[in-house]
Amino acid sequence: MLRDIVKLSQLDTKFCASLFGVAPEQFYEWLSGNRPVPKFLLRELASVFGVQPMDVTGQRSRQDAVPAIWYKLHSQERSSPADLEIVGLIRKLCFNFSELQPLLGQTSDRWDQISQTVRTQIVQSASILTQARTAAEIFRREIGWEHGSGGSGQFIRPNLRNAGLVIVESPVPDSQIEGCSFRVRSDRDIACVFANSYQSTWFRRNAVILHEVCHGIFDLEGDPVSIDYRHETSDDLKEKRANLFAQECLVPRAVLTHITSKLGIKWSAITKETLARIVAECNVEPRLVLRAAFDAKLITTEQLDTYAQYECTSLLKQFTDHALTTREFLVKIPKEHHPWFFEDRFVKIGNRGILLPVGYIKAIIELLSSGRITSQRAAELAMMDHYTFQERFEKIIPQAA
Amino acid sequence: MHSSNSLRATNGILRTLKTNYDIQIVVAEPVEVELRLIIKRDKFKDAQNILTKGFSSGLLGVLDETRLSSLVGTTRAPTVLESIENRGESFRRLGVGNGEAFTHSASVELNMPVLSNDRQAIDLLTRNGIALPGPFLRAFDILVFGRQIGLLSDGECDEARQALAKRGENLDKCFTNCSFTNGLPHFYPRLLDRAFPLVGSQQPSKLYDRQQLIISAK
Repeated sequence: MLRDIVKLSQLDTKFCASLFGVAPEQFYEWLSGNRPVPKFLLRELASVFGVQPMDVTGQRSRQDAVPAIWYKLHSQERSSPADLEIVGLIRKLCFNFSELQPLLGQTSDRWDQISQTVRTQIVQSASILTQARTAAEIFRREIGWEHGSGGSGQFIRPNLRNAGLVIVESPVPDSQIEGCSFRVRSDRDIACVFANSYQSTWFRRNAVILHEVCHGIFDLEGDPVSIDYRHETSDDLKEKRANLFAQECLVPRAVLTHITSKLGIKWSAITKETLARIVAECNVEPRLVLRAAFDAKLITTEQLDTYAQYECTSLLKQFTDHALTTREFLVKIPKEHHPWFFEDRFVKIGNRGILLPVGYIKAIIELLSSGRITSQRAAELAMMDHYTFQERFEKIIPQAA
Repeated sequence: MHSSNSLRATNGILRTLKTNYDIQIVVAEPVEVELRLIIKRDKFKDAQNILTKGFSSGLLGVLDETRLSSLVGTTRAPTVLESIENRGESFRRLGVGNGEAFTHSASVELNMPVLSNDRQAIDLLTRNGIALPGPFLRAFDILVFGRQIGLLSDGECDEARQALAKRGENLDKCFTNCSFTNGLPHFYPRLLDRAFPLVGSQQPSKLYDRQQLIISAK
């Protein structure tokens, strides 16, 4: 029954009502069994809670069986109510994404194919380092990065999304989660990666996303969700593999050598400024650049220790807008010139907010502009009411006749 | 079928439609869910009481098996409801919002007129080869009907027009930046009582104007 599922998930009832776009009193009517859950919402409820539609209607009794993803979230020491809510929100977004895909003529099969190819082509008995390197090499080839000798930060999000992965980057101040990945079952399976953008940088999140991609490829077979907390250190082999995979995907040796050669920088004579220029090109944090350079034997242990002391944040802002704070960014590019400004993409459900991905909103607006969905449907997919959607995007959407 | 929330001036008309014309306004479940949520917003607070009363008094009904039984019989009701739900789901997948998808699905299944301001949904479904029975009534068709049968004055209709505009609803072109009285001569009504003098324009101007619902009181 829905009541049991909500209780077991430990999600707040009012939040759930808001999540599914239902008045709280009406949601209570469904929970109490005074009125049946409407059929049109069954798939969505089942998908978000990670159960079958027949579990929601009570045709199949769940008793004490907590849906696995919620069980895992509750069992984490550092878990907070915020984690549950943000996961609920992301799962709803994934459900909506699965509804959007056919309208865009996409299927998520490509992501499954890529994951399958990477999984089957690595040797499980090889060392973690070898597994990660091979996996990254195959992954870069499959995703189309094998010829790129520059940083791939700019392409991560659009490329992975085009392959069918849902990437959500949103600030969640009261959550310790830095990143997580899980799958959402709807008409098709949707793989999802989340990176908490609160007090994080774009450079850091590039690595977090690829780290979670690795978990998504290798570790979700028997695990409902892979969670990484902030400042977490672990000797777990899965974590090591994910770290190395992210490093090898983002800054393999070929990228490092090409960038320094292009910039005319010698690894033996790195300064704060040259480090900032390398970071701007590689699109990852300085420490990851240096770690990768060390692993590629481009710098020595002593050089690693010396360069790691360099503070290049302010210099970095001269070379890339990605290093700017929101305030600095708005001074440079005013809100009016930024069609996908974050305030318009921020959706509040109950007391919890989520920043919708640019690509997702863009796809909705494109479908609406070409008359393939109605404004009402666009608003539903964007998890806003019709009026809010109109207010936010009226300048870029066609007016109803 | 009703999928708009502009109910303020329409409750009296709904009552008249029910008692004098035997016409019951019924909403699909997704519309009910949407309405119950949206009236919680500040700008819809005035409609909250009207809507709640509308549902509790039976002026507005929710399309369920019981309601369908009175239309198609107890035996057929479950099958018909399932068919409405399945078709509604397929309409939604074509890109139509939940409310309109299930409203139009019910309209197709029951061959009933639709009350909806969502012209985009009608266009999209039609473009996808769905034969919608129509007629497609808008909020203003209800107001103008009220005006035709003498239930509403021009002033009351204009008040409703202003309330709709204030809420950001898409107004018919005739009534945009124009009072009800001045807009009426240009509006081609799709709902009329055959016994009362005609109001509005006599010349269809829009694609869906070709279907009118002309009714008679009991």
